[in-house]
Amino acid sequence: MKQEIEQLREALGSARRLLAAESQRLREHALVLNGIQALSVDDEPDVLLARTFELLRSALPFDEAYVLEPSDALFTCVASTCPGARGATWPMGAFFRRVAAGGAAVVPDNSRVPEWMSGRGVTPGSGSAIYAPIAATQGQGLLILCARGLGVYSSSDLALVLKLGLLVSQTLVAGQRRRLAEAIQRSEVERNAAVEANEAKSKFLANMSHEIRTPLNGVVTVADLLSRTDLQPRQREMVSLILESGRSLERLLSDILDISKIEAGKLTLEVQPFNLTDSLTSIFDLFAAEADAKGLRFEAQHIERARAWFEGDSGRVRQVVTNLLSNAVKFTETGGISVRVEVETRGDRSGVKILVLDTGRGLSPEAAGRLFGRFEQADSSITRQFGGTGLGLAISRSLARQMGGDLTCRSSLGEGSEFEFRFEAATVEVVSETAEDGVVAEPWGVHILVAEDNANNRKIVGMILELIGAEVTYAEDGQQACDAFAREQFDLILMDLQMPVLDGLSATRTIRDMERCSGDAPIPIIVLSANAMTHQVAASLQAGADAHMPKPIDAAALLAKIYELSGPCETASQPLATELSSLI
Amino acid sequence: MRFASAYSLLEDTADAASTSVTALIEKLGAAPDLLLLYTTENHATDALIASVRAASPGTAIIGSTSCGGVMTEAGFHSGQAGAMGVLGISDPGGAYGVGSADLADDPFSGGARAIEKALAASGRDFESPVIVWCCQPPGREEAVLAGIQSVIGRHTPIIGGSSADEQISGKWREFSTDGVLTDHVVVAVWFPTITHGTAFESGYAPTGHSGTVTRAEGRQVFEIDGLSASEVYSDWTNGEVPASQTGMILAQSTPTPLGRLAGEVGGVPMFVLSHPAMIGQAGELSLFTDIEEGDQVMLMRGSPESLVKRAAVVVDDACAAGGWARDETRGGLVIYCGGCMLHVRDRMHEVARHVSRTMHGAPFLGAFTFGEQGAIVDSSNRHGNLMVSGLMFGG
Repeated sequence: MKQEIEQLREALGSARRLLAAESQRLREHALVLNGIQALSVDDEPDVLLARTFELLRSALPFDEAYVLEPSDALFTCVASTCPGARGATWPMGAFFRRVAAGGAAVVPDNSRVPEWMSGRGVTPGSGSAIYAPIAATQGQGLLILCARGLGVYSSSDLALVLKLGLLVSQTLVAGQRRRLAEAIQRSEVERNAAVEANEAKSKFLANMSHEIRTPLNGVVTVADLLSRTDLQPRQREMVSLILESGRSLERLLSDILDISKIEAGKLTLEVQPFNLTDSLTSIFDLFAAEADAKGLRFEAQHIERARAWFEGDSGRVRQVVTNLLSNAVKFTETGGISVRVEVETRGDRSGVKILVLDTGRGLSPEAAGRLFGRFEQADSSITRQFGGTGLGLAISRSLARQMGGDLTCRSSLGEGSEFEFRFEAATVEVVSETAEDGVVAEPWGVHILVAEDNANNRKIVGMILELIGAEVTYAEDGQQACDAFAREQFDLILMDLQMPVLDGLSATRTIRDMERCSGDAPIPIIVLSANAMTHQVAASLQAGADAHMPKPIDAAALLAKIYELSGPCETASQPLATELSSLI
Repeated sequence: MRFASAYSLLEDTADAASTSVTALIEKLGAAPDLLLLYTTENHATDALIASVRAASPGTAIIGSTSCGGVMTEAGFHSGQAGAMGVLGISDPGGAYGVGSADLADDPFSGGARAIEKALAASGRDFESPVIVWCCQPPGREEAVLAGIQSVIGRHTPIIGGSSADEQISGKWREFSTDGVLTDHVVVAVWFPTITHGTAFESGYAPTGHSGTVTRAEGRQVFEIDGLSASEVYSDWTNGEVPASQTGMILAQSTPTPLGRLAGEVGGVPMFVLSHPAMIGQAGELSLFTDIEEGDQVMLMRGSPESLVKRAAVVVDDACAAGGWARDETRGGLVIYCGGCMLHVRDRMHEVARHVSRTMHGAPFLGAFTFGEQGAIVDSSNRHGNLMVSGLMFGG
């Protein structure tokens, strides 16, 4: 009986010990689970870490806690209960590295850990510590719990901390997720702001274009007209200066608008059939004259071989070639400039290569490398000596690339430069060349309605129309234009866009509606506007206009367009431009 | 982390060492990182360590003499020419180191110096090891434990036993990689790669007789509750150990040691025992443990049946503390009191069988010592007598 009681007592003792061990393990598991549940990813990372430290403290007392993450060749404190410890760094010594790699440790006397001796920032007080590896956001890190008193912790404490280390890892990951989400949100906000800013910039540029072009229109056109009157030599020189300055300003405005379109990815090519030789000849003639004036030789080679029709943006091709020749003439003092045009046809596609060679000052390789950057010139002295924005070549290269080609430069200092402009274009059948030619430009008694709110502009347009003896009726806003159109008979309407009461687009649509109601034939409408961007041109045409012409007004071009849309039907005998030039 | 054990009953020490270590390496498949070595006193010669080192160069060695024999999963081993048992541990991912120090006049310092050396040898010189295995001569164990704890703290389990001989004649020795040592403490630090569990218990139950030590000095108790200690003890044992019997009383007192409450585990009181070794001329009781005035002592009683089963119970409790399924036990060590062993010597094969069955046949080595060290209640390290200390690995 006594033996049985003893056996029962032993069995009971063992069962109780087993129960105690299991209870301890369950407590540890519960701590981890409760901890994970208590950590909400919605909380701020700092709040999460503070809560994690509380959970750790409830499981195992400590005085200081540190969370170290690897960064470069250091461990950096990313969280701590110790004020000021965050951001402190310690070298990746053998001990810290071993712990981070999974070698957890209990240290009875923390002052013996060599890493603390060589760190920058906080050093834990003397006492004991537990070092556990954790999965940090930047790699394997360390969780360090420190307690005052030597030899406070045991390997069973370490086992508990290893389990709870999971909480710290989770917290860091949650913090990283949150930071990532915040970064994405911030990036979204910044992207939206950038889009809005870009749109604002586009609007600003459109407005600027309008606001600058309107008075510029006045300056250039009036100066042009003035230059054709009887003037004293000194006066003629002054008017010439006004014209040159106005045209420079116009080029600058165009460059800035182009670069903003390129930046916004909104630069579109206006693809139409064009004759390459014809497009280039007038430019070559112009620069041949300029070169001659500087005593330079100018040679255009193989131009006739390029006499073919292509589909492309002839205006942009001319813009690039003009830029290259302008630079060549500008930077060449002796020798000359030669241009060579090569066309290689492959089925219905052609590769066009235009080479511009000069005997100018040339460029160093370093300067040549920077040449196509925005606002770049070979050196700052060029800006001082020759002026220019430094946008021309950047725009030209963008245009060339948009045309499926490129713009490159080969140059040596003192040995001149060679610019190669290549582009791709579809080859098309020969198009009737009547469109560019005009008829005898004699005044033909046309009656024109001019809708323009700006008094100066009304006067300028009036001066131009006087040249063809047109009868002119003025309207100061879109509504007055519609009223005049209802009241009187006109041959053509010149329509400004930005006007009070009723804008030009609305007035155009109204007039088209009135025509549809009355069954009358559509009257030619030419929009004259400083709003010269592509989408604005498209909007004009969509509203029912027949043409959109930019301000400042090119008088010859305007008269040619008026003649094209409303002139007499007799066959042309001389080029219209020549005739109109004779008029102005 | 792998374990293997081997033993030898050969008379020649060198042959016994060579044979057993070679067999162990064959089972282990590699030279062990740590070798635990226990032999009867006759093998405590210079040839012992030389042969072990020759058979397994570079292995850290720790052990001591054992009373009466050794035990392994193959049984209790005791022959005419003594016995030798080895347990090898191969754990390339772990870290192990052995250090020793003479005790001389300062056992505290000896403990501290030995553990510092062991930590340095393991390459983890400023850390607390997971476990400390300890071998030392009987007599000053508490001071040695305090010295070890002064370096690594109180919470690392220190497990082991005091070296023993056959006749309590001082022929006990300690073994380390450096050789066979006298009056040295040898410690091994363990940084293992798998889970461990420990238990430190006795096979004795309180009888209800208890009192307070009112006069004591070192390991001698002069008075309990103001009365002669031997008179009180004789009274509690109903004269089984008469106060008039001055001199050695080890054999008579084995079933009835004195116990002190060390704590509770899951509501179960845990006792550390002190074995009365001698009754002095002044009626004092000499124990194998230190004792202090004010200590509450009670008479404990154990039956042979309890002593036979206790080792297996301790092993089972150690596995339970580790938390793995019993069939996942990988290996372990058992320190069993030499006095208890002598008390149930003819049933030691049963003891070994019970342990082996509890460990599902996993390798183990058992030694019989004159004082046991282990951790009771939250890794509080104690030295006791008539105890069983178990260290198990598994999972």
